[in-house]
Amino acid sequence: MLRGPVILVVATLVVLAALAGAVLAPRAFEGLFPAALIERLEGRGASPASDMAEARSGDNPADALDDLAEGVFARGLVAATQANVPVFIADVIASHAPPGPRDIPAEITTTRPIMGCLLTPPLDGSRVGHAVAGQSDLPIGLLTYNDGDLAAAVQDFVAAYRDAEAPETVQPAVPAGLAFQAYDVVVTEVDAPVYLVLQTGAGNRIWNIHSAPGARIERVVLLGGGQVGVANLDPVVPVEVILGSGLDACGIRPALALNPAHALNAAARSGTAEAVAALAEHTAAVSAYDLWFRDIFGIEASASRTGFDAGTLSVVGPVPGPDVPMAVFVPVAGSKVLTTQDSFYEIAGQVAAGEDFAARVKAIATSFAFGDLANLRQGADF
Amino acid sequence: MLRLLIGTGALLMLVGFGAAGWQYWQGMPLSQDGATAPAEAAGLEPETEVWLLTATGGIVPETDGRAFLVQDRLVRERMLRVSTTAALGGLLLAGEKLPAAPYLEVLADIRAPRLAQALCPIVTQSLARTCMVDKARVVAGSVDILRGEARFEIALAYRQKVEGVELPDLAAHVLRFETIRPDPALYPASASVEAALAGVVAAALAACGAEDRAPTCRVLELTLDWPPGAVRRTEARIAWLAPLPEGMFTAPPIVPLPEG
Repeated sequence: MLRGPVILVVATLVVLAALAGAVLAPRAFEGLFPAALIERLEGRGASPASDMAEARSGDNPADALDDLAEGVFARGLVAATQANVPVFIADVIASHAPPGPRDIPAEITTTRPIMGCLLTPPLDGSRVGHAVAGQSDLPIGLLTYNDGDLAAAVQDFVAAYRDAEAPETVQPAVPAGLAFQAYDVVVTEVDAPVYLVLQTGAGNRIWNIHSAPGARIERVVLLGGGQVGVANLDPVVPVEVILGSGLDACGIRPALALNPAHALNAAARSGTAEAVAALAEHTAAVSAYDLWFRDIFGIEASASRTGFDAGTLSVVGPVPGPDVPMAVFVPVAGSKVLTTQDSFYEIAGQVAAGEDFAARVKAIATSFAFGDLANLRQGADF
Repeated sequence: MLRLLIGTGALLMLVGFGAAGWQYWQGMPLSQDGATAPAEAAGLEPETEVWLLTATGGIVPETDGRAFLVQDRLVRERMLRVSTTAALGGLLLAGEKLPAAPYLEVLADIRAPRLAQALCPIVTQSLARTCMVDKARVVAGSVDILRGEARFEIALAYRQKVEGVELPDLAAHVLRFETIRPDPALYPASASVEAALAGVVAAALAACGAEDRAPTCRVLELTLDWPPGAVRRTEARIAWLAPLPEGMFTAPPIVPLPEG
């Protein structure tokens, strides 16, 4: 008679304890739960890479694309192929695994942008692949920044310190845009050498190159971005770089055709003269960029773009099949990276004490505040 | 068995009622102290019985009343505001050098109080008993690297020198206001911001010194916009107690009868 309730109570307690453990410390169940579930329980489910389950929930990869006011966003593991046709990443590369924020290369070589604005054109007979990466939200363990970034962070820190009720607890924040974001490019074209044009939107980018067996890369051109680099590229392949600031200096404004739901299109549909003028200006910029692009690379930028405004992978060449070999994923971690860099460079886990971004910000603020952060506080005693 | 059932029931009731009680206690309104705290934090005075009338018979806004009456301490409503352009070199200590260009604005922002503090002695010389920097900031984007200058916005709180002045019966007086705008031509082009500020303060005090205003006249607000070499805008708002205009009388406050 007594045994029944006791067993019930004990069983309930065990179930509750297991649930609490799973929610509070999901890593303890690493072998038991799928990685995506653990990431979701840890609150890291927001990045495109961790939405794998969501992305695979339907049979049509187009269902994982969102036509938004900011552009076309790919949810989860969906890749862009020629003419921006979406495919599941699992169908274009084997053993794919998104990078982590602590992933660092084994070897880093720095390079500089080219002098001037003239790029080497592709050779006759080669095919030009144009990959575009807006944002991937896949930061890796590399940071680069300059005095301007530090000064802006000092100003933010000062503002937070002044407003805080407990200023001693305020710590400088590292802006998300300083970390390099990884973006994958799969080259499946094997019939001709490939001339890669990799165009970055805003921020710092490492393009992780995955070549299918038989693919030959003639040259890589990195266009735009804050600081950019390539990982897993054969060191004999020449790389030319014009950063965003360089394009600006050359009078080149990268502009691509807009998606239907884009804010500019939506505003223009409303019919206001200002919105129509803004769209017309953008259309003119697209034409001008297409013209420059065709002069250098022989193709138009908007028509050749492969990559969404938010996404993680572009495919240059046909989708793998019986006659097209599939590339195997090689992570950024442990790879060889060739990259440009700003005044300061940080590798996660390899920064000397007091020399990381946050420490520099605090040191500058302290020095400007005559050695005592308390001097940052303002306000009369009312 | 019966004891076990009763005990389990009592335990469940304890947990249930305990949780309900906790939620009730959490949802209770704040205590008297807690309720007044935000008002005090916002710098508002507890409600006073003092009413000041304007010359047209209206009620003087509470903020103006506070700026005029509360002279035993600093109040947010009585402020001296200065916009000025200053050399960044003046913010450095002996032996220091200006940092690289990207850091000039944040350096200026952090050290702006140093510039503001230099203005307080001018205010305390004639107008104020005490002066304190309330806010001093650089104007974003105002750093001129070539000239080594930046624009600053400064706010100084002060208590006016009112010792020995007994205020008359407030109920028998009205509060009159005047905004004076001293002629910028009064300040020579070469004048410093300190000289310009001293000039505005002197003008405000002179306006206050008129026979019908002294000795109750007080400076409520003072603004100086000083680009280098020229005063762009000066303004001082003064207030004084004047006898009730003829035909005006104060009515007793309307309050509910004791019976409600």
